[in-house]
Amino acid sequence: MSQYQAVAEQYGIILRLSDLAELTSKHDVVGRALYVLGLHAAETYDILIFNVLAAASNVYYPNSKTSSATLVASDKVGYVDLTALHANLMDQGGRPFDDGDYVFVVAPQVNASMLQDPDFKASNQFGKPERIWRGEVQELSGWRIVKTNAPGFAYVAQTTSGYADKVFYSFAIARNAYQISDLQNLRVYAAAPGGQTDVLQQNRKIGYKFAFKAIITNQNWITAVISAGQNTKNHA
Amino acid sequence: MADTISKAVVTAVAPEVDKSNWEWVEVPELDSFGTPHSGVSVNFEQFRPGRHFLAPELAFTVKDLLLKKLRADQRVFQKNTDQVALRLMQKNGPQKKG
Repeated sequence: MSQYQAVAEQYGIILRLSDLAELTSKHDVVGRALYVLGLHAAETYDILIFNVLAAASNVYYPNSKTSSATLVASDKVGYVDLTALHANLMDQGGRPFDDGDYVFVVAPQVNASMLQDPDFKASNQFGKPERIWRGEVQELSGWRIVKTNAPGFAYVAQTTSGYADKVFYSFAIARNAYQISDLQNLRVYAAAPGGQTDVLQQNRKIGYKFAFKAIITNQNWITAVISAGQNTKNHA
Repeated sequence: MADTISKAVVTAVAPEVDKSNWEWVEVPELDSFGTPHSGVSVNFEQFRPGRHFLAPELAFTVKDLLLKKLRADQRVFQKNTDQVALRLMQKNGPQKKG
């Protein structure tokens, strides 16, 4: 077993609700605050992982492009790309997940372009049309397709002169390609008003904290795929 | 008789690739931890430690990957929070979604 050393980072937010806010609001501010904080924490977690994976040493561009700067609208991920990526991961000894597939994490616009892939439609229209009805690629060419609208997966605009298209990051991942620390569970804390510093019971404090580190532990088992999405338009 | 063309003829008519704007890119022998650099790859083409003479676009991507790898290695031992993540959360996080 390999051991890795890293320094953990700590994240969190605390917010204060006044008694007046609770008394005068028409909706449940405490419940709403707990919901938003939980979402904030989960999305922060997602972005931190995204940023680590986006620095993967292996990249793949559709249609043999060699840079995100010159991708155009037709450079979408399709069946041909998935077969090539799958073969490469197998060559590298990447282990599949429990269901026997590797995982391909994509933004919604990349998922949309895959739904329009003729190979996907042809292979599902008779046997598993519910995938088309639901708009879920689910499984293709040995990949479990996971779509996410986590903030990190938002498009990146090209900045090259003459190019202003939207490009997207996806990740082709084998099991154990990266690791996440398990030092401190994500947890939301709530403290009721009161105590020596709040004798008039005017402050309710709610927050979350977690310690975190993610590292890629095997670069051969992850590939960042940079491509166009369904809403990528060629510049005029 | 099938049309055939010899290798010599192909060589003769194939246009010369202009390499005047190509550049050398060096992948270092060791990474930030002092262990052998694992190299980078673009479309499954491996660039291991050593010097590589590359077309400008590919050279840009390889240099970018090397820079990302360097920064990612440095992040492992940095305790400061990920500012890029925090900026993204401010821009696209749940406060914006309502």
